[in-house]
Amino acid sequence: MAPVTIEVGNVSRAFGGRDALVDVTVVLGGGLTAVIGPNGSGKTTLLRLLATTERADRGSVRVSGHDTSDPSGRLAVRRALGYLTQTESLPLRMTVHQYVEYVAVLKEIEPRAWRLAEVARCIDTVGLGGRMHDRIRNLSGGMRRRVGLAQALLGNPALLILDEPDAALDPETRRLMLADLAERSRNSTVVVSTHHTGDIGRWCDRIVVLSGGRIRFTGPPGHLRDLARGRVWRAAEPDPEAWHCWQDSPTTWRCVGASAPDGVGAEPTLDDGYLTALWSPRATRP
Amino acid sequence: MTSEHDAGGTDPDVTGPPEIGRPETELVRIWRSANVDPALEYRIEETLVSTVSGREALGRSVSAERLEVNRLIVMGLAAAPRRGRLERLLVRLGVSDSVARLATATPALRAAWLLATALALLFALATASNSTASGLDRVIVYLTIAPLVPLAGVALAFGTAVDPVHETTVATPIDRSRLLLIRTMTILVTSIAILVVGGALMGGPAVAAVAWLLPALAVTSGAIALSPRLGPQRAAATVGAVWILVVLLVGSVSGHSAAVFAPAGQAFWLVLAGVAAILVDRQRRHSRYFEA
Repeated sequence: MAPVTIEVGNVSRAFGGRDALVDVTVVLGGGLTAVIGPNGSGKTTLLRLLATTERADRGSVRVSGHDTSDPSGRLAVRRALGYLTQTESLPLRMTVHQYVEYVAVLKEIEPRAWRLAEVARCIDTVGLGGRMHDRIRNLSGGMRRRVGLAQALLGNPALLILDEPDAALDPETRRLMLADLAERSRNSTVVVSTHHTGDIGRWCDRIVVLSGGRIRFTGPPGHLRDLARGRVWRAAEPDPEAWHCWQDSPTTWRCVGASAPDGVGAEPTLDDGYLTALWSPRATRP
Repeated sequence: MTSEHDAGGTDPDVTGPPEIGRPETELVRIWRSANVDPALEYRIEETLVSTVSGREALGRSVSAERLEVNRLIVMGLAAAPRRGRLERLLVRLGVSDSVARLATATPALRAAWLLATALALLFALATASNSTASGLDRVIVYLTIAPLVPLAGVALAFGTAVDPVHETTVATPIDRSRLLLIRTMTILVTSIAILVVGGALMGGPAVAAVAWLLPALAVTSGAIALSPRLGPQRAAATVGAVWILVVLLVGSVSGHSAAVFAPAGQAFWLVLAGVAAILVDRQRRHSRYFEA
């Protein structure tokens, strides 16, 4: 199965006069891509555009050559898509099995015997095999997120779009989920949005940093980290010269700025790279 | 050893193992036949792999992938809950299992169905117990409002406001016009039954219990036909408003709104329903995936 290629060209989208995305251009190939950015940066809007549930005001979104502004293009994408929304609630009265099977019907997974096999497999994959006949209202927040993930995995989709799949997950489950997604991304295209920048670099092939509806960086995690090289330092108190400072221990502050003062530079992390991408006027553009 | 029930090995029911005691070569022959139920297939495989000669016989005919597929299917069937009564009834009546599932398990339908049913019940009871209006006026009010009940159900059956999984639904390849029709039919069947009873309870002429049916069919089909352009909620509101206007207009021109429900009026609503149905069908053919 050839990996799905996503081409977003000069896309803009506004809601009620507020720009959600501004002239966004990015190309995403196979593998795992993490979209990160502050709240309101446009992550969800971008993912909705890729999942064909939102339309662009301007520009084009093509998925493996299919134009999503065209009905037949949208259909082609939806047939290859697994999608987890960020905010959508689940039908709490339904059991896990009922809900996932309901989505399997919507995904036109036929015949019934195969559909039920897929449902059981996906529920097992997210670790809810023992809870599949529980009502969703009786599950914790993290388990409900996994139910959403189970429906997204139905049919082994070639394109997985997951909006904050790690929200409400405990660290161990989150690590397992990321490992599973990284494994899946060997044969498919996986795009996730997340607020957890700390360890995402270990799993993903590509990072897109969004801020104010604009792309501030796109590239491999190592490049994002390198963006902060020579711009990170530690200080006893917040440095007014820095773009951003935060307390990283009871006695020290970590600062990111245009350049580190002599002798106090620190090895950059992905978080530093992310902050540099947000603040630096020289962050890379695709 | 096997029980009497279990002995029915060719029954596609998954609860029992395959016939025990058949020669393995016969089991392989059954297994290799094209129309074997996957569940039975897996049971045969299980039986075969439990013996050395069986494993050899099976190994010559089956790939590991196929074994895994069959295992998954059996696990899936075993894990599936029993279908609900209504769903079983629909399947027995010949409705496909996916349509039966959509009709009985749609999250949004529960609220829409309950509301439409409650509205229909309340409305029927209120009209039946209203003793202040004259007989004909009561009938006309009933006939005017009755078609709006299934229309409200249509408006509630699809959309972000009422469907908790609307966005997930939009991202699937399901034909949304088909989905809307399935949901509409589910609501229509229930509310029509209640409204017919309500009309009968009202005590007017017998025709009053059903005279609203064709107008209801026309306005509901009209709303579905407009849904691709306006969305179900706006379409239902628009059609509902037009319906009320027509009744009032006919009443002011002809002296009484009863003309709307007279034979000529009924013929008009039948034609309108037919035109709307043709439009819906054409929309489905030309653009299977309208954006509601």
